[in-house]
Amino acid sequence: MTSRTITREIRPVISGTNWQGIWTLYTREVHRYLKIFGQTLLAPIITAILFLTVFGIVFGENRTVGKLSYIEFLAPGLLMMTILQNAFANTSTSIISQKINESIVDTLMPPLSPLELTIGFILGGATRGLMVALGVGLSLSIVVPISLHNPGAIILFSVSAAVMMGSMGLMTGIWAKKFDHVSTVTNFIILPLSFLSGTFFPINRFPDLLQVASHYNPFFYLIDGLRFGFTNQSTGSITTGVFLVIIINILLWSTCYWMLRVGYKIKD
Amino acid sequence: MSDPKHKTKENILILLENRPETEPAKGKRNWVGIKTLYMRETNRFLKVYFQTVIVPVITTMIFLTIFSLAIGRERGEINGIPFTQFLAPGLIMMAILQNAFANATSSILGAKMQGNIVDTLTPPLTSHELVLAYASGGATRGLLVGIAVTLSMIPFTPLMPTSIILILFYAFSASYMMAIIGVIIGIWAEKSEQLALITGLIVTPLSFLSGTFYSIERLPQFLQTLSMFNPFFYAIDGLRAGFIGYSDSPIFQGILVMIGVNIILWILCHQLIASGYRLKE
Repeated sequence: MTSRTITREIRPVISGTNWQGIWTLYTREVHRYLKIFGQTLLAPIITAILFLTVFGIVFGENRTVGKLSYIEFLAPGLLMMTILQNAFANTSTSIISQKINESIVDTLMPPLSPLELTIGFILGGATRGLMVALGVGLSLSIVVPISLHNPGAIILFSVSAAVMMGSMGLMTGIWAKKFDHVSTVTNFIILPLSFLSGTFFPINRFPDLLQVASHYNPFFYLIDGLRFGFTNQSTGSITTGVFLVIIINILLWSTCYWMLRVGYKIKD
Repeated sequence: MSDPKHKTKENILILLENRPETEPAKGKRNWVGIKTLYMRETNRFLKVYFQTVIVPVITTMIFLTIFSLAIGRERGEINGIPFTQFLAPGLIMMAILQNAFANATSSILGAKMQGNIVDTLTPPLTSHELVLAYASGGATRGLLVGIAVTLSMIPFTPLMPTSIILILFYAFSASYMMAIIGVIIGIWAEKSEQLALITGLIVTPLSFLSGTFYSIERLPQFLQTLSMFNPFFYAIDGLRAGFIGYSDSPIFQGILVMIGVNIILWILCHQLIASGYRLKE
């Protein structure tokens, strides 16, 4: 009884949202990757340029997808692939390395609610995804004619992809016990899905069964939606895409919130 | 009581008198030492086999999938050879090049950063012996990944070797070439970020753009000429010749280049270690 009252007295009472705390966590997350920008910004940009070069040389000549030249078709796919992989990488590696260094307690101790932690981490990851994508977009625009056909769709799909992957990375980081676990998820799930969901070719090249399956794959809708924003050409339904992506984001954010609230694998 | 300092000196002298004789000058090689270092290097990557062997296999298989799907029903051919059959040897060589390079770099840089490189430099191993053991460790990783990639491709593409000797020669010479470059870069690098930059800016682009995915006939004339000075191109081209019997350049020229590059790199690496550059400073 007594101890309870004492706890109440010494605990700092923050009414409303701890904006300063969220901002601090967010900037920590951003500085963490900016410090090693060679690996986190430069390397993915070069990878994207390499893909464009190789695929351009192999398939570039007189090949078209719908009304687009192959290169125009490919560029938005590469942009989305970059967002997906990098937003995921940031949160997952940040959390797992803190867990391994046992410094995660420094993030859990400050008066941040589970929701505030979720927001800080996910926005940090999303920032990396979008920043790399901006770099890739600027470098690709030298070679590929990029037109902003529908800026609303571009912003909607890129931001929702970034926060979606940020939250998936957060969940993976919390769940993982070793770096190996993170690289398993990255290599068996994230990489194959980001490569094979219509980044490099229209999904009508798939066998029929996989084409049907693609219509339940959120990565496909993200890539397709971003491509629609840039080129006004899409394979799937944009409305379905918007709804699916929003629902998935709500589900993932709630799961992250729940994991941090109960302290799943981080407060055990 | 005797002076402890004096006693230490005495002990050292006794140790020095009783140390095993290796006498590299008389042509005696420290084979036990080479084998030990080689086993250390090999076990180091086998312990994390998931990241060092399985992940590269998956990456390569994803590439094969993308390209076979993208080329799709058109069944493209390069000089009369089905595209996937043309691509497969290129991907195998790409995996060999990248992985043989990665082993020694991370091993040496890791040891330097943790300050335990001295444990490798103190034992009685000459610089030739160090190069041999480190390079063989890296080459083993490259070859192992190459074999794993080849085996996992067989169910999807017909891979019939036309010349086993060419395949073996190019697989070995390319692995050793990259492994020695890895040793040199590992010695030179001081931060892991420098490694990431070399890998991202030089090794990956070269292994991507040296004819892995296409015949260099597709390139502008200027780049075709430049390819003739690119050892990565010969490695990829030669392995492809071993598998499908088609090559962009004369095989004899490729063999000479690979041998020459290996010898030059070996001498350079030996000189670096012998001088103690960034290892004994």
